[in-house]
Amino acid sequence: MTADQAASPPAEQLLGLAARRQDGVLADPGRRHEIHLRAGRITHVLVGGVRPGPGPGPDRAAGTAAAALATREAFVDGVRELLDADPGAAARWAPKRRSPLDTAGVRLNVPGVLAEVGRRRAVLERLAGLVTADAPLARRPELPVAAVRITPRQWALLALAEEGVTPRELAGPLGDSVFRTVCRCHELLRLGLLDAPSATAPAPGAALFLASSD
Amino acid sequence: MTHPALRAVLAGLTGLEGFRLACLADPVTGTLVDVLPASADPRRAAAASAGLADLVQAVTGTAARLSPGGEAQDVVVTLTDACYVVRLLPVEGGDPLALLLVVDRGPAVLAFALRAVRRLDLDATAP
Repeated sequence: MTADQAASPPAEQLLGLAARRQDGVLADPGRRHEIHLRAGRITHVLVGGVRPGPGPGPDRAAGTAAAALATREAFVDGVRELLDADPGAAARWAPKRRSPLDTAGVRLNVPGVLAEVGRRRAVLERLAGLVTADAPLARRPELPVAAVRITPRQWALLALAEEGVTPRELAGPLGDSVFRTVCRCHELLRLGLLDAPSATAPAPGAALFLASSD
Repeated sequence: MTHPALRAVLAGLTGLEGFRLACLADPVTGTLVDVLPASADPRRAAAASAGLADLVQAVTGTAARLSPGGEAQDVVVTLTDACYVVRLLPVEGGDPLALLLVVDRGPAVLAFALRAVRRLDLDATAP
């Protein structure tokens, strides 16, 4: 897994700006996607003009490990969504533009984020025949076994999984990233609690993530 | 960017006899959260977090069906020259993280490693 896996004009721009430790905002004005940099590190991300994910909420008090993890997840997956939205187009660089949205403490390393973006693309490719961000899902009406244990967050997803809903639509209400919601749906598909009517392939084998990290 | 409480969890394990590697991963996505030693080869660290997430998903998925009244807590894998200790660490306000500790195989090393990771639960939820 290398940053090369995320190669595209905006990704190349991002790597160059990081190497030169630049301050400013890399933006696609048409879609209002933005990556905010300070000293070459990512301090904020906007996808479609909004911060991806819910950020810290009442159950993720600022300064806690849960809040830090949620922010990092939202930004990393926001960068993935941004780079995949229009991978052929070069982004516009606004040097020295000071971010009014700087998130205290967030300083993400660009090559590390791009490597993670590449890994996520490989995972999504392996899942593509079963579930994608925009594939309709439905809760199965009957349990496939007599009893099964699910976590509170799996339960929350199932409760929202009305027929035809997609992982992208579920991500916001669940307060999770799109990628994390796709992975969560995959867990529930394997447990037989969700159906994917448009699936063309069975669930990938046990090594979903390891197979994508080579 | 790693939260100090999470870095402290890993740092507390590096003094164990036979310590080789410790990593924290999000078991839902396979994302590496942190690894020690920090000098670990990035590809090795990525393989550790990916394999850890796959292992946790296999174990929790099996336990969900076979033992729906219980909850997976830890897994020990014994190799000829090393031991892997896997522990699910609760994070207040979030999903659990998965911890992988790799230590040399030797007399009493596994017992000390297991005792150390089982004490980490409260530390992992500290703000």
